Amino acid sequence: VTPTNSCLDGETLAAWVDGGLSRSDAAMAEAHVSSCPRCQEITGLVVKTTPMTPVAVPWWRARAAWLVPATVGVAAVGLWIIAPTSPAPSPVRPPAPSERQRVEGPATIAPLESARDAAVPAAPPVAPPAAAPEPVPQQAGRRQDLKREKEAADRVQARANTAATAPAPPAAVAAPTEAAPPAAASARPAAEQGARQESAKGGAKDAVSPDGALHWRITDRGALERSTDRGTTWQAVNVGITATFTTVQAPQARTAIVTTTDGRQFRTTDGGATWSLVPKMQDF
Amino acid sequence: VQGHENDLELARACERGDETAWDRFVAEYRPILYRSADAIDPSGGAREVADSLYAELYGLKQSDGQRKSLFAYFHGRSSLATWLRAILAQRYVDRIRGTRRLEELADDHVARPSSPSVDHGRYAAAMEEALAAVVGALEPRDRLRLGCYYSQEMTLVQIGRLTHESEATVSRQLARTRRAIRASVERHLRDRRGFGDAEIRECVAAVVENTGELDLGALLGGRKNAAGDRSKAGGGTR
Repeated sequence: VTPTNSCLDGETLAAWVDGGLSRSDAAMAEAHVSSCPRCQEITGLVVKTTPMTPVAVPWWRARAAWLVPATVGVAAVGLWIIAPTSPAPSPVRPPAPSERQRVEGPATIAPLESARDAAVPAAPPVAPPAAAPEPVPQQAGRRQDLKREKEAADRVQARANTAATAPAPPAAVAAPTEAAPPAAASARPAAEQGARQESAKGGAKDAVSPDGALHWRITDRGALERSTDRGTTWQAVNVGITATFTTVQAPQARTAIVTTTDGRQFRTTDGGATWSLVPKMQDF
Repeated sequence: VQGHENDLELARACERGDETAWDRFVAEYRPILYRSADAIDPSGGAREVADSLYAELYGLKQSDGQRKSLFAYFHGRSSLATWLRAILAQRYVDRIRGTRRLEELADDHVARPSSPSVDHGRYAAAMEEALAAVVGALEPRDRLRLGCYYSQEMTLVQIGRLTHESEATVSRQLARTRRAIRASVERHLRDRRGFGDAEIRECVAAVVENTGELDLGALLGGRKNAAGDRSKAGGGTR
């Protein structure tokens, strides 16, 4: 399939998400969106805001559906012919790997998962409202995903820590408890201790953009704040997730990277208006 | 059009200016549009876009004395609700991308912080070049899964919805692609750069130490294609 240079029109994109495109049209859409940042971004938003209703089965898949029971039937007859006198209590063969994964669900997919951002419409990190509206119907599904992915991320982290040949994970990925100070140090003010911990890990509780226009800081409660008047006044920044932040860096004028207590990093390139999860290189 | 006849009928009636149809659209679809806008941008940025879209759907724009409604671009190939979400997302993304480009231009004037060492910069650059080459050579579906997962932060189920794959399949394919990328990057560094094991480890370490320097999302999204940036928003663009 040759990707087209033209972006998908709204209806084609919607039909793709609804599962209503023919096989060839869906392949064209896929080829284009895989290399077009704009369409990828739009597709992401549409999928995230569209309820997870049963997707229409493409005609080419529906037409081949009869093959499944037919194949199973042939396999069963084959087994019966091959081993009709077998002493085994049941002639039922073990499920194929794909079937097992369907039955077992998340347990089999978990190992490669990394931690995932909270839902797009998440509440601000400082004080989430008690009754946040449910903007999209699949929110419950996302929560399940997040729980599953968090467990998976823990396993990935454990594996990364034990891998002898793998490069050391970045400081931000290390579990916060690993850097916890000894109990004797608790006499110092909590904020000072936190700053020292983060300094040791390569991050900081505050940062200033190279041009000095933007000041960033993490409050004692783990919220992110930004100042545009060199620290005179501070405004809370909504990263789009409910999380506690530990460090902030400002490598470029409008770029900042914050790290959460669970090691995720989020980056803004527009001075804090929008944020995205920074993929972890050690996943590759 | 199969399965969306009712949506198409409603859209055509709204396009004609049928007040009853418009009332039904307002009751059934306006909440959907606003819920999507709030989900896209809880701070209200997408609401403005939704309001402007709502006006275009009603047909405020005059063309040759005729009221022209955005409904004219709906042909029933998808559900009306998904179409509305798609148009809203298009408008919103184009608005954000426009702002982002202006800010990137402003950022270009600011000197980027230099790398900690010459070697670090060399290894990071080599790694970035290798990753760009390897990701660029991936099959479209592999690149789509990676882009959706890492750049758009979609869940496995959401990705599977696009690729018609189960959650487990998406997971397996992502793992396979990541292994393939790792192997191809190492091969690229050996063959093109003549690096040995130690230097390859340095390359990996260079980007792991500071993920901020490498915009993996840009690599996965394929920023090379600028066609998307040029195309204008709207239901009729193609």
